[in-house]
Amino acid sequence: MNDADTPRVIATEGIEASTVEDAQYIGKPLLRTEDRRLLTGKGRYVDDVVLPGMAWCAFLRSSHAHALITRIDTQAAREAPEVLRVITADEWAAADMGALTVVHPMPFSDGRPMNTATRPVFARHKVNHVGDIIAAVVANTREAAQDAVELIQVEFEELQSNVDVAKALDQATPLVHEQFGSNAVFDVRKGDEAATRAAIDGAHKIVELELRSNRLAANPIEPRSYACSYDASEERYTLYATTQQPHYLRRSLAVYALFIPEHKLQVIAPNVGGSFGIKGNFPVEVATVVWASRLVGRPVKWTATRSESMMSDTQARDHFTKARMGFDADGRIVGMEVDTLAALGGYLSNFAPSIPGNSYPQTITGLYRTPNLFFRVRGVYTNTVPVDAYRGSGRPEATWVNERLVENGARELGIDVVDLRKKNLIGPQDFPYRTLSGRSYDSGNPPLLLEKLLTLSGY
Amino acid sequence: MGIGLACFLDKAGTGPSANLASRGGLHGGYETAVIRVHSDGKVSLFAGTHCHGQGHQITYAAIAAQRMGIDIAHISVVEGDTDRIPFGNGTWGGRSVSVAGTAIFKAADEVMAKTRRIAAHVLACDAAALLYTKGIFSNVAGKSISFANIADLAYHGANLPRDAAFSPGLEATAFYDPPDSNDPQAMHLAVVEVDADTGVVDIQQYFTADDCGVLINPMIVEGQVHGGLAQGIGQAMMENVAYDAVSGQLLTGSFMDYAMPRADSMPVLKTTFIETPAPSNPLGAKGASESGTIGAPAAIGNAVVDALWHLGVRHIALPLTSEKVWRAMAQARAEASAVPPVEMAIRPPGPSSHTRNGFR
Repeated sequence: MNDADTPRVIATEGIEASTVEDAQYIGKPLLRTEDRRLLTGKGRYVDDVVLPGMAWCAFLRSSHAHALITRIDTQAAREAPEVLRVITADEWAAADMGALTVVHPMPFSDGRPMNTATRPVFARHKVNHVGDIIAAVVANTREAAQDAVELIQVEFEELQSNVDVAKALDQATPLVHEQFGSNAVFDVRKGDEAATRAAIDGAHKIVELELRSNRLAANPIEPRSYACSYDASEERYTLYATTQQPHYLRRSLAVYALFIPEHKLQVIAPNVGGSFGIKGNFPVEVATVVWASRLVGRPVKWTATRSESMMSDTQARDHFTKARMGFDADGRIVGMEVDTLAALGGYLSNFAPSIPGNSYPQTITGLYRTPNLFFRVRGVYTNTVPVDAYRGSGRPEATWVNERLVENGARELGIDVVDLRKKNLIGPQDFPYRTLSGRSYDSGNPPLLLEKLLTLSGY
Repeated sequence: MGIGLACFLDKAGTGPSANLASRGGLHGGYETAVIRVHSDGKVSLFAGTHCHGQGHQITYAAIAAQRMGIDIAHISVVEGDTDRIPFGNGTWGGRSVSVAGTAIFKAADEVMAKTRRIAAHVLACDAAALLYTKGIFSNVAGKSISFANIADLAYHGANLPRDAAFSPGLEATAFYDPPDSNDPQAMHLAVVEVDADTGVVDIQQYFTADDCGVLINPMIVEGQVHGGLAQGIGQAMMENVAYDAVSGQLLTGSFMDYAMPRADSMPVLKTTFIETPAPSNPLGAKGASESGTIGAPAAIGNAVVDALWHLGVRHIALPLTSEKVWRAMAQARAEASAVPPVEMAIRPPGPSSHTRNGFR
């Protein structure tokens, strides 16, 4: 362990493990063992998996953001050449199949459970975002499956939609899920509202900002892909999946979606070409691929096109925030108030509510001493692709709010931006540092870190 | 020109299962490692995380090899098969090194405790009197036996301590539940230049200082900072999923419309580190995977506000397309000169603008 006051120089030019004397490996920049193989085209990704007799799956996706499905006619698709099966919400429901479940629920501030509408494997009666899955076709070839998808006839009754997180709770905004009477999913509050208001209202300088955190798509270089085969004699599925969490995927599918014994599903995750959070446990297409492999009695594969990825991979961020920070005449923070609307999309995905509801508040005050905090975040439904984890998950959103307020505070007070940070940074003696958002920061030395940065940059 | 600072922290490691459960979470926070020594002394290390670019193979092997005192080349790391690996909680939230790393640590200790007992038995001495270096145990008399030989004995099942509780084989499974998550911190400094005519933002230099506890592999950690930064720069400069306000249509349906950062989007980058150990795991490691994405939008946004402050600009929205920056400058200038704002449409963006299709 290093003395935090004398940080050692880190050498990062890579070295071969074989050049290191035995048993002194930690702290050395050892070269990765997989790179040569991956960089010379010898990686094995799910799309490389070819199973004997493999069939292909293609999906019909909604081209409407918000609409009732008044009629679906799959007859032409079923009769198309090379087509093995066509599946809609009706078949899924008739077979008593399940759904994904939210693994991190967030409540309302009065203790009521959240308004839960989880992302369905097939949209039933209604579509709630562009890309919402309406049907699946399994055919002998990828082209035959895609051609047959275009033969499915769907009649819609279009509804007004809302894609703007800032408008989600306005009176006039159409509801995504009418049964809740609101587009609110949950409402989380932290801190003392009255004390914080008073502290900021009485502050020497108040900075007030409206901020958005722009919506992102992860776009890993490898799109999502799943290939599953079913062995009828053992009643066992072998699923090759692009996933970050093989056991969660197995559990989600077995316990929540398909109702099969967990040990009857093997999930193999080969090389995964990036994910950043979107290849989490239950993306909706995989349940269909697994089920279809049993229905048609042949292995089934689906690989997303990039356009499909853009309308089905979970997306990220998409906040609208009103925030204030109060400073005394010396530039010390006296209070911070944050009110955020966080878009969760047309349905809830697995981790989604906890990203704005739990991860976001935990770092909202950053590394600054903040004696008063009132924080409120409301997750909301909008007619957009569901939101879920993406590298950073709540912390980029929090840092954007925190740092913009601090920066403007310094400028409006006429205090050097570095000096204002120094005045407010917590020091090594303050750890473990309990914040008003609930998180206790474990260890660190922010003043030293700042010094290192300033030296490095020649500021 | 503008300079922007961002000081921030991350929250990594997913934390103990009890904490997750208390929030209604439906999964645990522990991690799983199996260290299986084969009869020839080589090792398979199974982990319940799943690498998707983080370099687990070399990192986990380094932890196990150092803890076991054996050659790193003798260890094979296996992830990603639910038939071969006991239940694990996957890779996300910067948890792999701190949680799986510690499970590996514990499994390694269990294997080595058994190894030492066999060595002590074979060398007819107390375990405390054993010397161990470069994979070889010896006693004070100079008699020795290698780790590989001990493995062979363990699977032969014969020359083992005469203790009813002692069994053949040499492997250990650890399910490790961490006592806490951990808090990596970082600070970023961005230097930008804004073209006064076109609003094009050029990130000229970028500096980062990270504290992610003890670095197991500093090269991989630096790579994580770079990668996160590319995505943070993406959010700051160009990425935005756009939907039509009226129809709800997805406007950014492909790479034609969704701008991804490329190699030339990356500035000159300098990184540095300090190491304040995490108190919650014996490696002292914290998560190092996400800091680049967390700080970059703030540092770059602050830098552009710095560059434009003198014009009266007080805030700017992301992504910092040239159109957005240009409009912010034009608006501020118009307000400053108390002239009604010129109709924006009559001043077309300059040739280096990043505007596409005219949508916002």
